[in-house]
Formats: sequence, structure tokens, C-alpha cells
Amino acid sequence: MLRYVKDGAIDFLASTLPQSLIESIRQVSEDDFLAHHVSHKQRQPRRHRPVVDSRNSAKAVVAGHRNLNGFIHQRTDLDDPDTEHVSGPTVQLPYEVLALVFQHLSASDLFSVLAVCRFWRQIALLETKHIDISEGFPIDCLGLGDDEYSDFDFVYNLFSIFPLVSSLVIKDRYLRDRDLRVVTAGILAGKMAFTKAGPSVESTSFLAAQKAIAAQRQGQQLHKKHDEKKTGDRSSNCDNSDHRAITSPATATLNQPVKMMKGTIKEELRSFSDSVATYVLIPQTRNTLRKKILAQFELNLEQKELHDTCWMLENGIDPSTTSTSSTWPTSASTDKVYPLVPMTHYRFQDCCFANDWGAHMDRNKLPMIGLAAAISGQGLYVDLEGSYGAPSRSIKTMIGFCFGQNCVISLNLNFRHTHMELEHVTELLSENPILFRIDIVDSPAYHELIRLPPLRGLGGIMERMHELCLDLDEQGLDSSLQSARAVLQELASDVAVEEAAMEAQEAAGTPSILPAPFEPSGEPTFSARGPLHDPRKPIESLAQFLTFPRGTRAPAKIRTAKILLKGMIDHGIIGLINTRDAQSGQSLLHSLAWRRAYASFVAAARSSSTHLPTPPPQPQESSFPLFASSFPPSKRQLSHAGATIATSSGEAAMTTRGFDPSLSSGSPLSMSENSNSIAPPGGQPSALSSLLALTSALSFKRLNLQPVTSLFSNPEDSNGSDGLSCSAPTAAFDHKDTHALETTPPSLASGSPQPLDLHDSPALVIPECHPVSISLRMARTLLGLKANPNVYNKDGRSAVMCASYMGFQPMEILLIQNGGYSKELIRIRETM
Amino acid sequence: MPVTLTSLDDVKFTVDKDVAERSILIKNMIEDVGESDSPIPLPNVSSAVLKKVIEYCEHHRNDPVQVQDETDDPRKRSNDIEEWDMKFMAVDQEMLFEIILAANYLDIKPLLDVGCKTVANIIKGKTPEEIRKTFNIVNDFTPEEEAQIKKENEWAEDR
Repeated sequence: MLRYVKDGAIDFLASTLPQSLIESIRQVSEDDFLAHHVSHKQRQPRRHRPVVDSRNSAKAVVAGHRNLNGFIHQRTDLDDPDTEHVSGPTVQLPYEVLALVFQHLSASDLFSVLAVCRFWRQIALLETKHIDISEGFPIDCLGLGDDEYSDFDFVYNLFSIFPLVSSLVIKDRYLRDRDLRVVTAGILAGKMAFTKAGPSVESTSFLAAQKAIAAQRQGQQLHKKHDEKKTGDRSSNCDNSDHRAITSPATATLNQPVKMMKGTIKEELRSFSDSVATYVLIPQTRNTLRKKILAQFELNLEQKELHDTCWMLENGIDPSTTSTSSTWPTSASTDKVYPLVPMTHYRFQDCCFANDWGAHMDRNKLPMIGLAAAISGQGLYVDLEGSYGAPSRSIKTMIGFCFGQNCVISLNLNFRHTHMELEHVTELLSENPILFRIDIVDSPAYHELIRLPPLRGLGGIMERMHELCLDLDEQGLDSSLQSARAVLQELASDVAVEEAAMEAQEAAGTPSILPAPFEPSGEPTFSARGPLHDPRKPIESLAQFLTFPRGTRAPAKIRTAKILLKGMIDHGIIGLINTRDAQSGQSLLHSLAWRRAYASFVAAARSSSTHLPTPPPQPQESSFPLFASSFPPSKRQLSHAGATIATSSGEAAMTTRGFDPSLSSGSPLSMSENSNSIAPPGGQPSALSSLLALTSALSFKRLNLQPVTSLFSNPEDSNGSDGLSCSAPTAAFDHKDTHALETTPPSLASGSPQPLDLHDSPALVIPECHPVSISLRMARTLLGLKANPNVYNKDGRSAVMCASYMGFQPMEILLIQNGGYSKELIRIRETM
Repeated sequence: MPVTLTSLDDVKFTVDKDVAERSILIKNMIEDVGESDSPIPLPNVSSAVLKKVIEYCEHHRNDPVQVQDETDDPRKRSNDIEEWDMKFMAVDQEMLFEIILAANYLDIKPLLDVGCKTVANIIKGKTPEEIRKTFNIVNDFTPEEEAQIKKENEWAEDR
């Protein structure tokens, strides 16, 4: 039927388009015509394209190409006369010939061709369907070989069924087709980093590695056959978990020895890519990865001797694992042998995954590469350092794929806002010996971890710090931070001592860990806690407190505990600072910034309400450099002061502290029913209201607060009898804040509504150096940043996070001193 | 037995039959019509181009007939042009295109392949703009379309 549609469409177009174009369209085969709109399954690899009968093709082409030339010339003539032309040939190639020409182009060149003109694009698009990706790098990650499919076809077809079993949302066939293409290309592109740190392909070490990998695979296949003969003994599988983790599936094929590479870099690249089965599609545009890879290749070729260990680490080889069927002694230390694990390395550094922040990265890539790794059964290294967008669900899905397939995984989750539980992290670490680093800051796992006894009360310190933030007790906050720092330093030294002791014990051949109690099943376990907890040995102690999957071996437990502890120590107090409180959802800095903003706002409002023509009172500077306050109300004045402010409904009164110095003396702020607004300067929305809009967006939302902008709202709109809806950090005070209750004046803790009296308040005049003014400038800058997608993509998330801090110099100092957000801060400072 | 070919500008070329039959079109014509002394008209090929084509066919008269191998690398290589062919194709772009068109018309696959490879080699490594300049192609994309194309290829760009 579609053929008739095509014919009808052509007949229709014949009245509007030149005959030459119509002829060329008629020459497009049915498959090509329908290719964009039919299932991918109808795509045929280029090699399977039917050979055109020469008798017919010659006649058909000759009939059309002259006319087509005429068409192209006509189009040229009709074009904008201002267009710059370079004298070139008058003869143009017809569709058929161009198609033949494009068949000789590499994938990267086809990308250039796609952007030449409409006609070329039309032809090239048909060609791109048949790309077999002749440029690439040798991984054979998918174990494809080159028997039936190109890897593009394989992955493409593979993932075409994936949406059926996943949560991917692909609206229709066209979108699905397009997305799959992108994902497939992305997956293939992700492999290119494999060669980043590898030895040069000419080196003997590389050849030895290739042979060893092949031998290992053979051994694995033999091992698998051997296992199949045995009855399924799960315990034996557990005993071999380390070995199991590095095995490859039967789909992996043996690679032929890598060809020696001669000639130019480009030819070497091609030769290298031809030597194995898996390829990478690398479009050739300016500033492409291809360019970088070529440069890396050059570098590799120049550096004939690369450090073996480096290469192994890069390729997911765990030096600590030694018992495998196939090992490779390094030149650096001949007494050690290492297993060889093909590892795919994906770099998503500094990528933004969040759509609402203008993301370019498709978060669905993560599950896809997890699936790809699971299929291959080989290594997977995902580097998400510096990424934004928190694709935690995607990461979990990716990990889930790998878990199920005994896939080696090494994950650099050095980004924030993961949502992983400690149990998942523990499982991840213990089952993947390659994983040597993980960043769980700001995740539930982090919260859980710091509350375990081996972490020596860090959880309590963090809780206390959040309370101190809300109290604006910056002196106490600083001392708590110092305490946390001291605890972490102690931990670091104890971990170092324990680690050294373990190594010594290992060298002496004695067990490195305490004997563990036995479960009824007879397997050793660390589930028993308390009696074996030795605070001087944080690693062993933590290993006992963690929950591991059944069958986890003791070395894996120790290793897991070590990674977690070292991660904690590496992050230091910045981990505590950046981790959001489980109750309020606010990070420490954010809480403090918000409290300062709120306090200074109320101070400013108060100063205005008392008709002070001068700026608000000068702040009482803190003696602590980290927390040197720059806003008017002093800590002492603000802290432990409370106010009970009516909500818009006049029902649930909320107790706050530190809003105004006068509150500490028990004189509540009040506002009459008629004082429904504070007149903004010049009749424009006041600076204060802008600030409140910013703070509402940044801070209050997280605390589930009513926006303070309601201060300026119409009482009728706010449905409040007093015309004032001033909100307070409800969540922060809902939870076990006994200390706050103790310090709250009885009159304010009673819960009775205390309207804020801002009647007849003059227009606020906020000094330029006032934090409120600074925040306002930040808000404007943010809006400017938001308008620029490039800035936003890279730094948007952090920019917003920093923005709330930016108005507060002490916060900035604190951040920079502790290494948090410093780059973004500096960059934003430069843009201001 | 010699075969006479008449070009577009009515120039006659007499060549050996095995040379002429490098063209599948001529071969089929001879088979269909039968051997005859009458010249074979080639109205789409000028004498200059036909001369070049004949030169190619004479040089390759003893080459085995090319059989398409289904197991070939699907992406054809363009760097395996013989030295003689490379020199043969060292002509101006207009002539190159004419040779390709003639090879296509006459169905001389080896010549067509060499021509296409030569053009492909010209395209290789060039940016779209450079390609346009080389082949005198007008960019008929709208700015929006260009932006869209750029976006399509963005996934591989290192940001």
C-alpha cells in the first residue's frame, strides 16, 4: 500500500518539483523510501543490498542523471546570489553515483556529508543506515565477532527490544528508532576510552596481553564446561566469587592477534580497528573525540613503555586478585601476576544528565551500557566524576544489569545526590573487586554509614551541626566542624595503622582479620556486632557492622569497609557539609545560608519598621574566620530567639528562632491587618521580594515552607486574617529538636500566633554591601546564567547551589577552604 | 574483431572487441544485436571522455571480470587504488565526473569504482563547508536545519 502512497506523493510533487528531482525520487528503492518510517528490523546491512542488474541500472541511471544535473544547476541558479561561490565543476554527480561514492566514505566522513546540502543529505541518510562503523577501537566488548552483524546492527537490534522490558519512555516508533540510534551510537562511542592508557599496540606487552586474554577466555570456556558437568553447588560458586567476577560469557570470541601497525596514524587507526570486532562511530567534526583519540594514539605510539599497572587499573584489573587461570606478569614486578579483564571505560565526566538543566546527555545511556556490559560479561568502568543531574535511578539500573551477570564493574560515582542505600553500596563494593572508589556523599548510604559506631559519632556531629545552623550558633558550628575534622584525622591514622598491620599479617601468612562467628549454615559472617567491635581497628569494625550479601567472603568485606572508610576520610568534613540532612533535606551550608538570609531579612524588616533611616546595625563579627558574619544581626542577638508567627490559615503556629533581636526579649513582631505590603522602592517589586523569590526557590521549597513572599501578598489572596503569612522551617523543627525547645522563650514556644507588625513600614533601603543586596545581584546573575545554556549546562546546578551562598562571604570562604564548589564559585564570581 | 564506437560529437573509435566488452552495456548490445560492422552509438559520451574510457579499458583488457563478493567488507575501502589508475584519474574535476558518468552509463564497474573512490578520497577529511567549496555546492539548509544537524551530531562532540 505504501508503494501507492509513494507513487501518489510523487505524482503530486510532479506538479511542483522539477522533473529531474521526480526522476531521482522514483529511483529510490521501496526499502529506502520507507526506511525512515518502518521498523528497524527492515533495515538490511549494506552487504545484503541487492546487486542491481547492470542492464537495467545503466539505462535507468543514464535516463536520470542528465536530468538531475539540470536540476542541480537549476537549484544553483535559483539560489541566493549573495551566496559565496567558488568556481567548480559544472558537472554534478547523480543520485546513483553519489550513493556509490558515499559507500566508500567512512562513518565520520558521512557525518560531514550529511551537512553539505539537502540532496547529499538525502543520499547520505540512506547510507548511514548501512554504516558498519569501520573506524573504531578494539574491545569486542559485546563479544560480537564479525560473523553476522556489525556491532551497530547488533546493539541496535538488541536494544530495540529493551524498551519493552524497561522503563524507557519511547513514545512512538519513530522516536524509538531515533532514540535507539542515539543510544547505540552512544554506547559505541563510549568504548573509545578503552585505549586511553593502553600500551602501544606494537609493544610486546600489548601482544602478550592479547594472547593472555585469549588464553584466559579459553580457560574460562574450559572452566565453564567443567562447571557444567558438576552439579550446581552454590557454595562453590561463592568460594569462587572473585574468579567469577572476572569471567566472560560464552559470547566472547577469541581475538586474532593484533596486527602490527605501520604507516601513518590514520592508517594505524584503521588497521587497529580492523584487527578486532568492535568499533566506535566517531563523527569527524571540529573538536571531536576522534581528534582527541588520534592525539592519544599518537601519544601512545610515542610512549612505547607505559606503566603496566596503570594500564591494568585502567582496564579494570585488580592487582589484589591473583588466583585466576590466566595471568599476566608485569614487567614492573615479576613476582606478581594479574588477571586480565577486558574493560570498557565510559567517561561521563562533567556531563549534565538533568533535562531541566539543559542536559545533553541521555540518562538512558547508563542502563544501556550496563546491559551491554552484562551481555558481554566483561568489565565496565563508568566515570561520572563531576556529573550533574543525579541519574541515580539510571545508575542503579545499570548496576542491576551488571549484578545479574557477574560483570566486573568499577564505578566512579564521584558526584553528589546519589540515592543509594548503604546496603546497595556494600553489595556493589563487595561483589565487584574492581571497584576501588565510590562517592556516597549526600546519599542515604552516607547517612547510614556515619551513624555506625566505627565512624565514631560523625552522624551525631552532623545532626548537631544542623541544629547549630538553625540556631545560628556559628561558634558551636565551627567547633563541631573541628571536632569532625579531628575524628576523621584519627580515623585516617587508625585506618593507616590497621592497614599496615593487615599487610604485615598477610606477609606473615596469618589471617588478617579476626575470626568471625558462624551462622547456623556454617558460613562465616560478620553479622554479630558489639563483642567484636574494636574501635582501634575501624576497618574490621566497620566490616562487622555492614550488611553483606550471603556468601560474601571475608576479604571482600574487609575491602568494602576499607573503601567506604577511605571514601569518608577523603571527603573529610566537606562530605558532612555537603550532605543534606535526612530530615530537612538541606545541606549544612544551605541551612546556614538560609538561616542567615532569613535572619538578616527579618533584621532588615525590623530596622525598617522602626524607621531607621540608616542601614541596619553592623554585624557583630564572629571571631572565627570561617564564619565571620557579614550581616547585621549578630549571632548572639539572633540565636536562641524565637518567634511564633501565624500561618496564613492562622492555625498551625510555628516556632522559629533567631529571626530578630527583639524577639529574644519577648517582644513579638506584629503586623496589622491593613499592612498588607511593604512598599517596594520606586513602586517596583522590591529587592526584598526578589530575594524572597530566590530564597523561596532555593531554600524554602526544600524545607517545605510557605514562601516568604507571602509577606507582600494581599491578605485577601493569602486568606489570612492578619495579612501576614510568614513561614518558618517546619521540617527542621518537627524532629526531635529538644535543644531548640529548651532555648526557646516560653512565651514563644506556646504556639500562639504572633503577628508581625510592619504597619506603615517605609520602603526598605538595603545597603549595597548587605547580604540581601548581594543575594539580589546573585539572583540577577543567575537569571543571566540561566539564559545562557552553555553556562548553565556546565555549571548551572552548582551555580544555583552556590548562589544562595554567594551572598555570604563566610560561606564562600568556607567552601573554598574546604574545596567544595570552589571552581564554580570562582567562575561565577568572574561572571558577576 | 574490431568494434566501432561513435561518440556524442560523432567521433568514431575503433577498438578490439575484448576492449569494448569491458563495458557491460556494449557487451549486452553486441549480444543482443549480434556482431555487426555498424558503429555503436554512444550518445551520452563525448569523444574526449570516450577516449579516456577506452584508454582505461585497453589497460585493463586482461583483468579478470570483477565478481562482487558478498563477504567483502561492507564499507568499501577507497585507499586501494592502483597506481596506474590513480594517475589515470589525475584529471580535472569535470573530466573526473564525466568519466564516472560514462563508466556508469557504459556499465564499466571497475572504472566506476575507481572514479567513486577518487571522489570519496576528495571528500574525505573535509568539513561540510570545504566539501561545498570543492564541489561547488550551494548550502540550501536553513539556519534552523543546520542547527538541527549540528544537534544530531552533538552526541559525539566532546564538551
